Amino acid sequence: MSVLGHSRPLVICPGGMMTCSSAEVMAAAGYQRGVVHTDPAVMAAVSCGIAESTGFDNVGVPFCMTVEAEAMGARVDLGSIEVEPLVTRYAAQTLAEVADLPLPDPMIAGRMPVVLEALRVLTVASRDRVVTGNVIGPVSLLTSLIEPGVAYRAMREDPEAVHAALERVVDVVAHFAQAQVRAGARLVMVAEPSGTGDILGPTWFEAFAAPYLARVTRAVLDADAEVVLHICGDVRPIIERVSVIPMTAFSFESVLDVSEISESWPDGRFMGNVSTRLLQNSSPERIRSVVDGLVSRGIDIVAPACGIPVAAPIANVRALASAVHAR
Amino acid sequence: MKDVGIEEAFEALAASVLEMDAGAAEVAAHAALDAGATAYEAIERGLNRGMAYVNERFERREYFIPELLLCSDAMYAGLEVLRPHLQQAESERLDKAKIVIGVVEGDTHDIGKNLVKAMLEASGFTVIDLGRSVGVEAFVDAAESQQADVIAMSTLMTTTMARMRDVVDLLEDRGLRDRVRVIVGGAPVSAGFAREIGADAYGTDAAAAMRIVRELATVRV
Repeated sequence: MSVLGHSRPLVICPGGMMTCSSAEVMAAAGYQRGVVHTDPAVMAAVSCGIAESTGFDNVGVPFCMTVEAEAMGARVDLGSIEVEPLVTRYAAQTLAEVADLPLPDPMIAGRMPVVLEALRVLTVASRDRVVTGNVIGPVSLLTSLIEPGVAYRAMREDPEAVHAALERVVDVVAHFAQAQVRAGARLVMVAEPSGTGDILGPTWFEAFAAPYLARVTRAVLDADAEVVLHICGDVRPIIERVSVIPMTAFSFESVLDVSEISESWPDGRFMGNVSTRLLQNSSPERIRSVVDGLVSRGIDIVAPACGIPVAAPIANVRALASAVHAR
Repeated sequence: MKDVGIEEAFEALAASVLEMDAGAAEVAAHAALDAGATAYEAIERGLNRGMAYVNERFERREYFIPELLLCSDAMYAGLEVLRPHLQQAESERLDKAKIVIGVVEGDTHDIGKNLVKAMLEASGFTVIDLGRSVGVEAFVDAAESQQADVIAMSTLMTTTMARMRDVVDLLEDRGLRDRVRVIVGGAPVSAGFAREIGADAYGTDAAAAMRIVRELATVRV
C-alpha cells in the first residue's frame, strides 16, 4: 500500500522521532513501562492500539530514536509513559572512536531485533494500514554517539574525521532501514533532528547531512519501499539541497506552510504539518479546519508537524484522522 | 600611545572571538592586561563585544551552531586568562545577576543551553549550570539556595515542554515566583507557550536569550 495516490490523503504518524501518541493514547493502547520498547509483541500491540484509537492510516515502530545508538554501545534510559527513551551515556569520546565502532548486526544488536520482530508481527496483524519503520538520520545518530559539540566543532576544524565517523554511521542506518523493509515495513521514515538547516546552515548541511541522508533514502528505495525524510526546524535555507535527495515525500515543521515550500520545490510531495501546539491546546473543530486548509493547499500526507505532544487530549489526536476521513 | 595599545588589544580580543581563534584570544587577553587595561574592561570591551559581533552573524544566518560553539570556546579561552585579574569590586559588578540554567527533564540536548550560557557568561552574569535532564525540583531548589534572579530552561523535545510549566507552578507554590524570573527556549517552545505557562519571556536563540536576561536582570537587580 503506497502512501500516495489515494482518493484522499493518508494520515500518518510514523513513530520514531515523531512521537505517535499522547500519554492518554499510549495508556489506552496497553503501554507497559520499559517493555513497550523491549518486547516485540507489546510494541506491535501498542502500535496497533494507537492506530485503532486515533484512526491513523499507519502502524509505526519503534517509539523512540535511541535504537541505533544503543546497538552501537550508547547507554539508554527507557524513560516512562511521559518521557521518551534517551541516551544517558555516549558510546564514544572521539570521532575516530565512532569510525572504529563495530557494525551492529540488526538481527542481534540491542533492540534492533525487537523492532524487526514487531514489524513482522504488524505485517500480519495490520494488513489495511501502512507498516512503518523508523530510522534516525546519520548526523543525529552521530550526535547520539558522542557529545554533539565535538561533532559540530569538527565540521569546521576536522572535516575528514567527521566524514570518517559518518561513513560508519550511515552504513548502520542504511542496513537497519533495509532490514526493516525486509521485516515488512512498506514505509520508512528517516528523521534528522540534529542535522538541520537551523543548526548547520546550508554549507555544513550540504557537506555533512545531505549526502549521507541521500544514501539512506536511496537504500530504502532500492529495497522497494517508500521513504519519508523529516527535517526539523526552518528548512527554507536548505530547501534546494533537500529537494535533490531521493525520497517519496518530505516532512517538515509548521514554521513553514506547504504553499511556500511547494513554490520552491514544485515536484515535491509533502507530509505534515499540523502544529504540535495546536494538537495539545486547541479543539477538534479547529484541528479539522487546519487539516482541511493543509489538504487544499497541497499537503499529500497529513501528519503532525513534529509529533504528538505527550499531554494532547485524545479527541484532538482523533480529529487529525477524522478530518481527512470525512473528505 | 598606551590608549591605542589598549584599544587594539580590545579589538584583537573581539576579533579572536569572532574568528573562533582560542589561541589568539589568550594572546590578546594578555596583551590587554600588559597594555594596562583592567580585566573588567577587557571582558566588557573585548570579549563581550566579540560575542555581540557573533550574535550579529548568527542573526544574519552567516554563523550557525558549529561557528557559535567555536566562538564561545575562544571567548572562554580569553575569560580564563582575565578572570584571575578581576578585582573583588569588579567581580561583583560583573556578577550582575545569577542565572540558574538547565535542560528540562527528559531531554539531553544541551547545545542550545550551552550557547545561551556562553553568551550570558560573556556578558558577565553568574551562571549556575544544572546540566541536562534537570528535574522540576532541582531547578527550584537551586534558584532558592543560590538566590538566583532568573531560571532559564530549554528543551528540544515537544514531549518535555510540560515540565516547564511545572517549574513555574512549583515556584508559585514555594512563594518564590515574585523573586525569580523565568525564561524558556528551545525549538518547540514559542512566545505563546511561554505566556501560557506563566513564564516571563521566551528567547528564540542565544542572542535573544541574552538580551532578555539583560532586561529582566536590569528590572530586578
